Amino acid sequence: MAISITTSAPDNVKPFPCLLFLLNLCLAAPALMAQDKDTSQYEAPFMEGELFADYFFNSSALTTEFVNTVYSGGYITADIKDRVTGKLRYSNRFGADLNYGAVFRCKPASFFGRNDIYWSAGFRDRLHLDGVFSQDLYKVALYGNKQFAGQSADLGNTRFNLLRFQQLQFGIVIQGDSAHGDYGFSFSLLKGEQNMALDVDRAILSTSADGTEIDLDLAMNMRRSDTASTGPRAFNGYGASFDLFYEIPYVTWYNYGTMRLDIFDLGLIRWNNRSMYLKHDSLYHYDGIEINDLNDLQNQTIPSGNADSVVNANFHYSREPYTTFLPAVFSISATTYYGKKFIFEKGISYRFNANCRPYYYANFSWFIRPAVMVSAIAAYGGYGNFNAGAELEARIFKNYMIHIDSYYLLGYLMPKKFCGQGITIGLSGKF
Amino acid sequence: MKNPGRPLIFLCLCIWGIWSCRKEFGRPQWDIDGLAPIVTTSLDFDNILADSLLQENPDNSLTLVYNNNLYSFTADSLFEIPDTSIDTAYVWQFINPLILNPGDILIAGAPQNTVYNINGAQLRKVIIRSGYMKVEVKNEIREVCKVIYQIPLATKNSQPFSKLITIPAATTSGPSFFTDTFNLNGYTIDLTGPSGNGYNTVSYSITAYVDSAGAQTTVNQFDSVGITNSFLDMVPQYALGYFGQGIYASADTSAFTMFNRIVDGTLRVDSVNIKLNVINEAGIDARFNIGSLTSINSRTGSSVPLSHPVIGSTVNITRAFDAAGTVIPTIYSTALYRWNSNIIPMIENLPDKIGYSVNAEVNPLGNISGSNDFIYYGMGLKVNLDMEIPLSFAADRLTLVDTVDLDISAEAENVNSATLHLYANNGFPFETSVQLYLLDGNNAIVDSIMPAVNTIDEAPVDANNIVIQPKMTRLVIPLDANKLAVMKSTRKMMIKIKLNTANYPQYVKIYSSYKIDVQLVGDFNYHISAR
Repeated sequence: MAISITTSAPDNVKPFPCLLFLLNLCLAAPALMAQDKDTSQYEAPFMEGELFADYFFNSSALTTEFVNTVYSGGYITADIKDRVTGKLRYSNRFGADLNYGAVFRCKPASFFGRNDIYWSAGFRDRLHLDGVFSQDLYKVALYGNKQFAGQSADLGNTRFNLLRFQQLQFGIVIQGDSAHGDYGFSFSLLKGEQNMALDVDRAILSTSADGTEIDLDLAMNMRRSDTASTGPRAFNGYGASFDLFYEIPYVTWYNYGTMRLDIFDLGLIRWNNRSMYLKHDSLYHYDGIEINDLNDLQNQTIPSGNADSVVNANFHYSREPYTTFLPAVFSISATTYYGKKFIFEKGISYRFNANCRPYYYANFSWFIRPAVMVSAIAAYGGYGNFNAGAELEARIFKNYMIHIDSYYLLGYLMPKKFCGQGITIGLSGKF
Repeated sequence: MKNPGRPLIFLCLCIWGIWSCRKEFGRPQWDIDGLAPIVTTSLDFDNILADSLLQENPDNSLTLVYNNNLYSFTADSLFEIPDTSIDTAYVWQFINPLILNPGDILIAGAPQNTVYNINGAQLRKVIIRSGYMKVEVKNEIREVCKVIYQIPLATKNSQPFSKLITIPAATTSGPSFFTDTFNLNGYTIDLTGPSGNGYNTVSYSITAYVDSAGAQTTVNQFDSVGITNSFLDMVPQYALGYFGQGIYASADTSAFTMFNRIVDGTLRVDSVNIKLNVINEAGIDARFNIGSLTSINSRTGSSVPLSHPVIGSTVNITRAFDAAGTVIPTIYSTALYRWNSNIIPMIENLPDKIGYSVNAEVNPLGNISGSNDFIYYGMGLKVNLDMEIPLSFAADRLTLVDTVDLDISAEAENVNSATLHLYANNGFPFETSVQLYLLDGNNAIVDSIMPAVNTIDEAPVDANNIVIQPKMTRLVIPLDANKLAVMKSTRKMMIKIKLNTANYPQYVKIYSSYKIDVQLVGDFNYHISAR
């Protein structure tokens, strides 16, 4: 009986479970059989189901403590703010994913006359957000503009992207042999639930030294799906995506290995014509609410007079459809097997359209027992900086496999100092 | 392979369960230090006082214009149309019963006249502004009766007043009663009677009969139909006639609101021009005597009576002219200057009331108009003061007070503490001290806002006391958490301003170009609760 090994993907990279599972199979078989890759025998027909859920949040500056306080609705103290400030650079990034779903996988006795093909069908609910913000934007938002009296705060170079959609995925994998590795592809139908894409090219906030006037030079545009239709049942867009992978076996220093190329989420979503497009290129000047007559004070202490004046206004608003390209991931990894107990995987991935840097990771796995595997992970890049994690996978109740990992243990152990948090949980079972 | 049905269902249920249990973001909170302008204003005297009170002179200086109505004498002082009730009855006196058929006449409808007693006035015609006629009927006849009430000489849109009333039949248990009212607004009533030579006379007729659609009925001894019609609350829009002779004396005070907000200090004015006007808007000859006119300051208890030739003298004023509904009044006017009266001390007394005693005699020569006196509603004889005070004055600790509503609970809800900076670029030739008091529900002072240093400097002036250029003053107003809490709960604020003109006691003239630019900047610690 093969042991199912679920290897956690790098930051933001969560290959669809079926392929992952198959990868596990490929990896498990060698582990059981003294790490000799015998591809001449294909596995017997079976069916399998898997439940999974994973989330992560990472940032180059926003500490785990800060993020947890924001998410739980707590009070952000000055110390919490200062610890983030110590990590800020001119441009800072953050990103998060939340995925959960299920996949059903089947290997029939014969699939169009072939017995080396697996097919799968799965459903996933997905949330992705990412962004870039400036140091000054954080300071103005969290500390206020008083510190910028007599200066200009550069709030520009800010981007934010929120994408929420549901995915119905269908895939097949063709099992490889010693000459070539496995390869496969999947096709997904996407239901767009919610999207917001904000791009602030220029935002200069100038506060005079005595506070008598505030100027804002703003150039931004924003696209947003229909705000009147929200929630899991909202159908604000439709789309499609593809996933592909290809494995190349190799031998190094007498140890077998596999090089794998992955492309995930290559696709788009088309949002409906109730979507909003807003473009601003304006210069605002504010020197207080204007009172024209002292009698205005008779009825209300602060009258609703002319609050500001727009010096130059270039404002466009419309409702129109638009297209969002998914944050696709391109990944290369190399996995080497050392005997029956050890596996070393290293890889690099890059996420497009996601304000993300290249992500580097190294994963060292150890089979404590044939049915239990633990891993240690080190990673750098993506939305954050350095982090370390761990993984546990074990077979339980004969036909079930459980997988738990986190690539951000440092964020949990030292939330005030490190950024990042995330957990992956998976439960699979054969029947 | 096993049947995948149950596992598939389990998977689907798990997906649905997780999907349905999405957790929403909480509402994080934090505090920031903000620096932002709150309000900005540029005030000239037009903004401080109502536009209608200021007048610009050729040299761009300003003059304060004010009108105060001292005394008025209107139609209801001359006469009043009393409420009047008229009873009409039909009674069968005889022992033998009377058979009445449908259509039989009960009351024949002969013209009747009622003469009003209107306080010595002899009215020939009135147009009713408001009033009504009330009809009350008691019917002892056991059949429906009809009543036609007519006032031939009361017309509206050329139609005479006529009402048909249906009276329900009496029953075996007793008579029936009927009451109704009819609006007389807009009716023109000729009060000269059928001959055309009378006065105060209303001519009317009542006709009562058994309903033509009814049945034959029997009337027994003492069965009756009684009708009472009343003219009530009659207010004339116009009256024509002779209003009699009479002397109407009045001694009272009239509110003088120009200096309402001044509670202390000294004001010296360079000059005052006042016209005392006696206006006759009624068609009656009159004779006036102003016994006294006094400036009264209730706060200090000081009174300054007017000294001027008009006091104690008798003024004859002829009747107004009625040009087809447009009244052209007759006006007697006399000017009060500093050289013919003590009007300056009267004004510098800062009165809140003007006391007066006036005797008005109407028709002193009798009915010389041939009963063609007239008066319209709201018009009559009036005495008023038209004042022009050039804004050239000297003030020493002149203190003005006003109370305004204050509700900053919404705006300041999340302000933890603040320091307000008041920037005042003063282009007026007087310095100003401002204090703001917070009041409780009993209008008692609970706290103040302004610090000890609260003076806005005056603009520098040249040798002619003309402003050279504005002067900037910055006031710092700290508001800690306790004071803010009091402000948030307060609903009224008293503003107290103290003025000192430049080079007192020299007069400074106010020009239309003078203004003060004020900007309030907030340096605050603010609590944010994000969504």
